[in-house]
Amino acid sequence: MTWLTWRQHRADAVMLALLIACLGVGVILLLALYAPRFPGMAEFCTGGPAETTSCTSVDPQVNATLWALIDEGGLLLPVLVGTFVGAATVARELENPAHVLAWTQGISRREWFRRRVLLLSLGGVAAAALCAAAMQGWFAAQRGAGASIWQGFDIAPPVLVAYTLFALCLGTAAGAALKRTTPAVLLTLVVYIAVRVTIALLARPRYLPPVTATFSAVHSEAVLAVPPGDWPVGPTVCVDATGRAAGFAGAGFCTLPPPAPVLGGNHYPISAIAQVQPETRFWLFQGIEAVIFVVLALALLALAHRLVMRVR
Amino acid sequence: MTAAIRASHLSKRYRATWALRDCDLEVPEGRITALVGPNGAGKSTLLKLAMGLLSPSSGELEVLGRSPLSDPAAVLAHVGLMAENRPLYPYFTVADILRLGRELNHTWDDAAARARLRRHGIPLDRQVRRLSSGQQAQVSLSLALGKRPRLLLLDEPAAALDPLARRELMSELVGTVAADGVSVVLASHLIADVERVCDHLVILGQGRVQLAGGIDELMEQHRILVGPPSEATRVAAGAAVISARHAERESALLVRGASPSLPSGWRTEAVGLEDLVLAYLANPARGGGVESSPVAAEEAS
Repeated sequence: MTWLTWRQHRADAVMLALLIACLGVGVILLLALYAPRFPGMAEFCTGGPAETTSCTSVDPQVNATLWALIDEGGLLLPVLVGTFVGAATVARELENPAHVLAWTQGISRREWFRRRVLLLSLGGVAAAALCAAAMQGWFAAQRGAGASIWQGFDIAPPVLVAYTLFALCLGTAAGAALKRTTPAVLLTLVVYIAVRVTIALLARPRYLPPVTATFSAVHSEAVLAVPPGDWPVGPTVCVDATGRAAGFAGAGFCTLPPPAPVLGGNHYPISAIAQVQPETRFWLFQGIEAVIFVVLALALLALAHRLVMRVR
Repeated sequence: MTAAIRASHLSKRYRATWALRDCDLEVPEGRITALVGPNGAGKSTLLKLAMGLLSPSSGELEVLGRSPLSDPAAVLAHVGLMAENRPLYPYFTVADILRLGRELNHTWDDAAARARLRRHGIPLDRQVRRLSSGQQAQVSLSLALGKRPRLLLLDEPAAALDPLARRELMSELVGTVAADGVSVVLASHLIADVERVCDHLVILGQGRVQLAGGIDELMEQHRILVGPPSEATRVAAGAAVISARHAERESALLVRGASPSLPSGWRTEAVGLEDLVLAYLANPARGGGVESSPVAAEEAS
């Protein structure tokens, strides 16, 4: 069964390996190219002069493009696993009469399904882990350059592995339900994106009640923002010392009006009161989201199993 | 005699149409059973039910004494199927197919399967999609035989085979049955093949068993009564008529059971297998034969 599963999915395996290799090589090249040119990049950005804008802008456009490419490479992996591997693994058997070949040999259909899904899951987890490792190399450099840890939430190892398992099981269930590869691929794509977006936008900020944090500054800067480790999830209120609204409040930052006349020789203080998920909760949230997707994956797997056993 | 396949009140319905309806059937062990019937008679459905690829709508089915649904591993391990459209993975090489057989079967005779393919001149390194349909049939059969089944189900095995390959296949089947005591069910349209190798016959028509039994016994039970048409109705009234043909000078009645006392000018002839099968296929309402009312099925010729 191991050989058969490999033989039927080796093209997918090669494709995924290529994707991961590209990510890995990309990350290594980037780090190698950029590190020598900016030896003290991390210190330069976090502790350096106020012109923080120059930090990530090693070459702003190139950097942004590469960031997007590598980020999307990581986001793409579960989708590829779900559509190419998951949606095809049962549907391709059912859509031509090939299941009559596989299901009339000496092992039962139940065993065929279980061994196959186990092997594919192991492959998917390995691919996701490798991919996540490459992403972490990349993301570490980005964090060094001042990025918030929360920006890398979707490409951190726990959730990337869970997303991949979820996509694989979703594809398998879609293939077993629709019995045709192309519609199963489309259904997998639509449901995967819908579930990911829904959970990321609606559920993730609410895994734990946010903490109200107050950040004060003397009104001499143009922008007052929450520290990059915190994730602003609710409205931010900007007030001056008297408690009156001051400036323009965005998500996690205040844009301040030009400094008022000096009062008593000092700038008057300004406070941003923000609803945030603090940096310390990052790995807890990773765990919660990973568990959600693994549970969804198991439910879909049970569904797929039922559907496969019901093809009579 | 133990049964390789035993069905009682077996029915299978696809939405509005019945593929099999209330079939009672026994396929004996260690014999070659022919399963004949027109297209859509339910032959493939019966074989798929026996493999657990389909589940019956009602009724019972036992294959080698086990249920294909509740005990699939026990049935699958001992039953080989050559399915109707030769399902094979087109991008697999022949060697890949053999490896699949080895991996998915607990009992697998690799040497025999390889030798068989070599004998038919099929290159192991060629992709299945590049083989002729006759060669694909041979690969499919080699896969079914390779697991050393106790029961071999063949769905139209001779389709796509040339006459020589067909004859070889038939004698190979006889040899396999004789050597290993394998039971074979051969679904076929080709009555000549059936006549050459089978010793048991099941005729399916409109989803029901029309006739079943040992071929020799069936030939003994049936005869053709030939005589002048003027007396045909009287003769028919006293016999279980399966089919009747009336020409200007002669009527021929295919009857089952003892022949009645015949008026002068009438004689009894032995029936050929092909005539017997065609008579039952042409008159599916005669299912169960003797029990139904002995009214001649009038059919001008």
